[in-house]
Amino acid sequence: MNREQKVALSIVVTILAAVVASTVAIIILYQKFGMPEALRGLAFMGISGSGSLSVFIFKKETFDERDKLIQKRAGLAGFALAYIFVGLACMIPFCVMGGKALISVRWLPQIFIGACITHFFFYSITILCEYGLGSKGEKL
Amino acid sequence: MNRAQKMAWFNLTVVAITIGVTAAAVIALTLSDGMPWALYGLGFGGIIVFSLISPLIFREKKRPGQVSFDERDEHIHRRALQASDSASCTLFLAVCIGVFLVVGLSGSVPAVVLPIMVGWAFICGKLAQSIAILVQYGRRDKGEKS
Repeated sequence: MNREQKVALSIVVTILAAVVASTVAIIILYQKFGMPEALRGLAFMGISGSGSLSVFIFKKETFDERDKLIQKRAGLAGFALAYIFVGLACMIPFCVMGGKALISVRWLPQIFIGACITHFFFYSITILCEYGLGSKGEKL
Repeated sequence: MNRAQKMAWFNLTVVAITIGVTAAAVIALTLSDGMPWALYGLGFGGIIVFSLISPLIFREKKRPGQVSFDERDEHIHRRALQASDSASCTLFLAVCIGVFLVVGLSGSVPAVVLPIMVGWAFICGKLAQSIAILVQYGRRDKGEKS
């Protein structure tokens, strides 16, 4: 695997671990305290930030035009899916609750953080799809 | 001008009309009903959907043997998309943080703010994309026709 694949794989693994931890926490808190206190389990999504440390762990190597093109494509794919996430996160509460309902202002930065996590997750997935999951003789 | 430049000019015109009509509506509502009801004028941002018909208006004329979209065009379009992404993201972040700072930690906002934010992020992205295309191709005709 080259550096980009390793970084992408570590980001995917940390985000999936964060999702699993958050889901388990929400289920446990829901059984004990019910909604909306169970939503505090979303704090475990902070684990996904640790995936970015892989950029420092895996040393920089050569980076050619093919790598640049793959990175650009992955960036666009990540953004497109993040935009879909933002659209759903904004439109679903609006459609369910109605225009005159009030929502806590704390949801706004949380929507933005969710969009960032979505972007990095699908960016990494695209990198792995473009390069391939395993090693194809590329070693860095 | 090539097709991309014509579409970019059209989109810029639609964005300008959207911003103008919205500003007029917000000002009029501010004078008549005051804040925060004046913010409903932001709903005129829906005019931006007319920019989606630009590919239909400026259809590609296929001439046999002519290359209509080469690597340079692809490169320009990809850069314009990146500019659009950055602008949308920046606006969304600015609105999220701005509302958070103005209203405070324990405040609330009407749910209608959410689709308005998404719509205006799209408008900002469209504006940035059109400007990026015109900057890279040039504003005027340089002999390219499509």
